[in-house]
Amino acid sequence: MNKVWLVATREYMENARTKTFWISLLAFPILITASGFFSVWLGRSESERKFVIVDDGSGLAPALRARLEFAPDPRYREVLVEGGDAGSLIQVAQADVAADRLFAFVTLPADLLTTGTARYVSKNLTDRDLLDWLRRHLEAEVHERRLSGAGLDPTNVRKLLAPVQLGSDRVTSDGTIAKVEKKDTARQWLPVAFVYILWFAVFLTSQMLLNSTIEEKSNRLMEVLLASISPRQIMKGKILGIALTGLTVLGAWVLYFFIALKALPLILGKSLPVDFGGLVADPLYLTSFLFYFVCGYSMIAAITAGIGSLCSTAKEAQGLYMPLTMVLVVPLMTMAAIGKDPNSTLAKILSMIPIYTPFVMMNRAAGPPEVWEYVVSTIIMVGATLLAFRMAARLFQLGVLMTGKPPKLGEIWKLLRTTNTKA
Amino acid sequence: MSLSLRLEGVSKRFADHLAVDRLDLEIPSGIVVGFLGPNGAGKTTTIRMIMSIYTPDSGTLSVLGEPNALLVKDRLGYLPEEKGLYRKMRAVEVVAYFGRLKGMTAPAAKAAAKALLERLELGHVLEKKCEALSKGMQQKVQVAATLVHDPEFVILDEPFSGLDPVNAELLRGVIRDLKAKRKTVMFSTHVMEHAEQLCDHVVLINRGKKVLDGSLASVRQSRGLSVHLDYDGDSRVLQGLPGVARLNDAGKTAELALLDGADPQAILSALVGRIAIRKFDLREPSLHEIFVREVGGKTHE
Repeated sequence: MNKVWLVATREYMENARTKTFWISLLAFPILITASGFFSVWLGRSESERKFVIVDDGSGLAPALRARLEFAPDPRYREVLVEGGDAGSLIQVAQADVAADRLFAFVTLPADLLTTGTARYVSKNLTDRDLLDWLRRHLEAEVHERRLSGAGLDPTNVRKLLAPVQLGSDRVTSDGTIAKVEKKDTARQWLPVAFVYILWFAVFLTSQMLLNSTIEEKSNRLMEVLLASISPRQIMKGKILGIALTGLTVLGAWVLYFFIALKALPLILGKSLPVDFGGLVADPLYLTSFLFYFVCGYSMIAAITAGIGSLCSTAKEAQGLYMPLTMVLVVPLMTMAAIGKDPNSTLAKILSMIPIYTPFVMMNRAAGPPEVWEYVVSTIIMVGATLLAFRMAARLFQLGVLMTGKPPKLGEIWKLLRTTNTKA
Repeated sequence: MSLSLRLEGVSKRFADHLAVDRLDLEIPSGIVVGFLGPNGAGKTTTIRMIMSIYTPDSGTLSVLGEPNALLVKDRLGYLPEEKGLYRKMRAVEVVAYFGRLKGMTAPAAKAAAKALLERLELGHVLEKKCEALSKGMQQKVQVAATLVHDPEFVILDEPFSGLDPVNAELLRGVIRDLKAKRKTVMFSTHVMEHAEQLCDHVVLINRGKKVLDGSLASVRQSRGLSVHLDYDGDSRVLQGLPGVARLNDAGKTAELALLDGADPQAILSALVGRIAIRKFDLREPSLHEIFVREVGGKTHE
């Protein structure tokens, strides 16, 4: 068997035995599932909120009640309070709110129709759901009364004041009009989600590689390995093995996502508003996601392996890794802007910078970019990746047996330029 | 006689430090060679050049008849001075893994790993993770990883450092086994006793240059005679004796290197009555004495 492959499988097996691997494999699905169930459970367990309507001479209470009953909300229930004048009712209600027997009460004053002002009293004013619900129905009633008072037919007026829609169409690059559906809005924003996952996947896998390289160095294993295989083979094997680890985790996530999509409608008892499954399974997204993961990871992994080989401790590596992290933050910062305008000049320029290509092209998938952009950016990226591999292999050769302080960035550059002689 | 190793005028410079200076060396196949020298003499650099980990700046080199060790990697066994193990792997797995890196099939590597670890008295920890093993055990696992593929030519860099006497004896046994199987073994050390007990041939280098090269017997015979003394008493008595070129005094034992034509009887009579002599032995000098003499290190004044 090929020695690179041997190194890769060992690397994979070793990672597969770590807790971190299983945590990242399972944590994400468990976390998502748990938070979903938790919020549903929280929603259900929330106790019914009681409120009181005090009609202080407006005469609108019965009509408001009729409206509330017509469109009930299971979370809220009106409590009827008998007898007494409005003033004493308010006092009782206020005491009940204070003692948590009531969530809120509303007072409808006599001049409600002219001033358009009522009062809502509660301890909790941050949760405005009940307030909004009551306000909406009260407003509808007040409007209807005012219209009737002015001798207008409310049904007619509603018809006249029907809202205006601004329909949106998307014109594609070949000049045809594509109908915009709900799905398309999701399509527009889906790449952003993908970029996010892509970025984290690439970043976390590179960190794994960095740690594994440093460990092999600090364990004094390199020289033992060098007696059997070349530094280039070690590097390739490590990069490949960790790529497979990363792909396993990603694969598990995608699989989980599809299972969840199938299971969710069964659990909720209704179909999802947007066909995410169909969208995600769109070959444009899934294939480019995998392709860009491989490309993005390969390039960054090569740089990471080069850096890792020069360092003896994780702390030293963090120092050298810092500039790379800073450079890599750019696609995260431009993510939203590019998602909004996938064919902007910024997007086009960033697409051609090899280290950003995977993220930005993924980001622009909804555009979509023109074919030549795909071709040219891919060629530049693959070329840059091959170059990164060659430079990293050279650094690796020099670095793996180095002990003591790692060189500074400037010195690394000098090393790369002066040492072409190695086998 | 075939040669396992030949170096001709090999040099290596690091920045402003000349680590190895025009070194010539010929190692015949099937013998055990001690590669001696003080710290910083250039032993590890030389070994790394032999293993093609470093490229020589000048000179030529041939390992098992090939100009580059990479071409015969699978026939070589190399135990570096700085060695480690995969902490999370089981002992037998690590050894088998290195066997596979040398081109063995998975079942063959596993079987060889098991047999070798048992030979090294590690049969009871085959399935233990390396991190759970003691330092001495780990070092034996490393030796097993070096030998698992039954190499023709074995290079061990400081294999005895860190081993207790029992494990050191075990390793000497392994080296004798290799010799019995007509393998070539080259090991570096600065413990002269190990070299004396094992080597057919010794090479001594200092400051990158070869100082001594020959069979153990010829090297020792060509260096005059020494009095090997076991004694009790005041060691100051040993100083300033007639005909003694140099004194290596260890407190209870001492070696007195004699000048040419010196009279051992005169020395004996000078000592009698002043210290209690348990042994007085006249023979060729120890390797330790030769080492100290050639390297020009400190002697007891």
